[in-house]
Amino acid sequence: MIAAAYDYEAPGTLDDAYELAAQAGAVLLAGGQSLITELKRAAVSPRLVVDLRRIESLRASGDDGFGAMVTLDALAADPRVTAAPSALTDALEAIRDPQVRNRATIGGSVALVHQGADLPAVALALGALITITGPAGPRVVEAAGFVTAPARERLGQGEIVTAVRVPAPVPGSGSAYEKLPNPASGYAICGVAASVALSAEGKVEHAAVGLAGAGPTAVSLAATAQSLIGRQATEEHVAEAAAAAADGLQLPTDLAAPADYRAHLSRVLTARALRRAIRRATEGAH
Amino acid sequence: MLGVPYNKVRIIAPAIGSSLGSKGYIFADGPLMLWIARELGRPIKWVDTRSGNARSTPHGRDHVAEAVLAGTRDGRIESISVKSYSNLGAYPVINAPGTPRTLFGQSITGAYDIEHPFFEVDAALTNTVQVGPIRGSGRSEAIFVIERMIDMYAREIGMDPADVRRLNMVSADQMPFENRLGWVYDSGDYVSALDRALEMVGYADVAAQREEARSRGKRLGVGIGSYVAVAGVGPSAKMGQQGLVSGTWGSAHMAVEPSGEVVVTTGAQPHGQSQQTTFAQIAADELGVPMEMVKVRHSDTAGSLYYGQASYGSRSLSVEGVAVQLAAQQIKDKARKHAAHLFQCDEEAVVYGEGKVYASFAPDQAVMTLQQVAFTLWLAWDLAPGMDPGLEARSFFDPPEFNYPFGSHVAVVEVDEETGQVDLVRYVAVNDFGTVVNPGVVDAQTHGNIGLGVGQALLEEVVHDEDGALLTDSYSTYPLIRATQLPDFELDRTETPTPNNPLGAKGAGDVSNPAVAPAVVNAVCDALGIDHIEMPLRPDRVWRAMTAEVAAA
Repeated sequence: MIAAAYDYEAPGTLDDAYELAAQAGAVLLAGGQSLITELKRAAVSPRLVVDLRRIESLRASGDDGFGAMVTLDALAADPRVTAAPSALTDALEAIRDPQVRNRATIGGSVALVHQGADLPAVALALGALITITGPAGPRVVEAAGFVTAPARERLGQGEIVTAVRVPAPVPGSGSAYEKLPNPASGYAICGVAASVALSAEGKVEHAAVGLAGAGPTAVSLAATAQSLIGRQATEEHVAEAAAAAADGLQLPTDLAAPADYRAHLSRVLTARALRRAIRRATEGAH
Repeated sequence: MLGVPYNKVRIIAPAIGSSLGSKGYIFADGPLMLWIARELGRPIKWVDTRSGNARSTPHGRDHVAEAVLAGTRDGRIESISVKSYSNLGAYPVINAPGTPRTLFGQSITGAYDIEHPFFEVDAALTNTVQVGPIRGSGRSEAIFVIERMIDMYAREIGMDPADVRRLNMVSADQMPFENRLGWVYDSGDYVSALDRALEMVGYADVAAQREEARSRGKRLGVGIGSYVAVAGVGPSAKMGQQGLVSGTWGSAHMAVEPSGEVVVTTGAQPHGQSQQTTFAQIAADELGVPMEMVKVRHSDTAGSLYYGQASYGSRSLSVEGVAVQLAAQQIKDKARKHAAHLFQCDEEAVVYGEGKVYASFAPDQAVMTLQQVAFTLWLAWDLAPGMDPGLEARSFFDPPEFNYPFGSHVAVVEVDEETGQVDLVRYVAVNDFGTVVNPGVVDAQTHGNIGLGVGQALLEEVVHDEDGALLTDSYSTYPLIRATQLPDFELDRTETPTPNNPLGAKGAGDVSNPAVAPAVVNAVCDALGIDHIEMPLRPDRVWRAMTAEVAAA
């Protein structure tokens, strides 16, 4: 039951959407997985809800990546995603509810960064490029810097996330996502996405690690990733890097878990995600 | 209520989406809505929210129990003493103290012959949401205590917990057995149900599985939960002695239409227990007519029943179902009397069988179907002196005693050594519900009981903040068990009829829940090699227990 009154618009074009989104008190509605719950709980009280469902171009995928309104279910069936197991397929596999898969969108997930959402961490690790469009035209930003920023800094007035591009994996690379879900909400108590690229000699040439569940934004475990670069992708080095994964993190204590357990999970799941990413990289499963 | 006379009120309780204990009460909202409707002079619709429901209907369990068990070094339990603090919350439900006092207190001996049982219960009024009965009420809390104590005792004396159970279980030749706290166990071979469960799980081969699990970073544990649960509410006088101001008998009305169809009106209130099916089976079986001919009506105060007592506490089949059987027997008696009149013979010479009445001396000539009997009784053109028209019956059944279903469950868990996540990998349950009318129905009830128990053991927890505000008021904060977290259940039954009703049926609805949580917690304690851990076994708590164990070593 939604108690508070608000205006509702479902524009048919992006131009109309920018204009509506720029109004004071406007919020964007994509799949509604976060917003509808917040409306029910009266946690937000917008003056206007701008529903993006009628903008067909947002459901299409092109050069700039997946359209923002592509659902998780459609994403999971996309040949570019299913080509090889990755952090993205792991994350989509972990979200099993058909209702959620049919409603939730990649753009909504990445733009909103609900605490414990999987895809922002995956976008971080995979170096996703996010297209943000507004009255002044499109701009492309890296996931790192976007999903790690506070909500108010992510989008300018009238701006909308319109596409998310996940770079195609290069030979010798691999990624994986590990998650311990909140048994009630399904969001991650802790989720770790890791990607690596290895040289022919098994040396780590690139690594990125994204953490979900650590707070109101996704967190880049840049120091952990950096500590691996230039070293052989061995179990010993992975364990060393993962052991420091929680260093310096400010982790929350809430109903789902205490902070020290989240720190422990960050280390454990970082090691697991890195190990699987490396295995995929060496086995050629990009 | 609101000064409206009783005979001007009609209540229809349609499919209410289960009850599990929480819907047996009047809450403030209901009368308030009636009052508003009258003030406005028009019908109103009232829709509760999930969070509203979580704040206004009873929560379950919430006992803090301190228990001491004493026994010999060779495994013979001599006494159990339990001091329990039971939270009733604010504005307790009407029979709130019954759960801790009677269903909990008197059940603490479980399936065992314990010479000196003792319990003391403090019921506390607090500022939380009210706490009331939920599936397994009282018995689940009691069986949890005794089953955990058995495992701790076994660990203390270095005996296998299965052996401790075998040694102390009430044996079949002790029946009827008074548990020294007021329950009189009726029938059953508790050890054989336990042995069957252990055989199914392969208890002897567990050691090898442990090593295999270790190689995968998992700690494997096996836990047993054995139970006896009082059911079949109930003998009215005994319920009265417990303080309940209500009869608790069962009743049924049965009519055979002139067209031959049978209409049963039951005092049970089906809300997921399938009495529409099982009671039709009982009537069809007794009358010898196809089940499709029987329609079961219920849950409407404008029906032909004097008073429906509803469904709760695993009572429907063994109390209300028996009333259906008795009503069918009355129908058969009247059919035979009427046939004797038409056949012009003694009633003793008329036999009822396979949906027909016939004279034993001329079964092919003097024969009528039940439909023909009902039709001629409806016409009433030729009735014996004193015979009323129509074919209907009204029956009551007030059982002489409760009944006592029992069984043993075995849970196999794997605990992730790093995260503390508990996976339930196997679940074996051997139950004895006495005579079973419909195996599919009792298996489905068992599935529900296991799911609820696993949820209690692993996930469910109501949390209030320090100001008394409820924090877990939605399904995004209050976890329920999901099918993906449960293995395929491996079920079997032994079948020992109760002598306390003519069907031989015992309760089945909520009685197998008590075994579940202790089986799961015993399995986790076994996996971790620890004495005890408090529910729910969330991964962070299990991790902490493992960390403490490492620190101690």
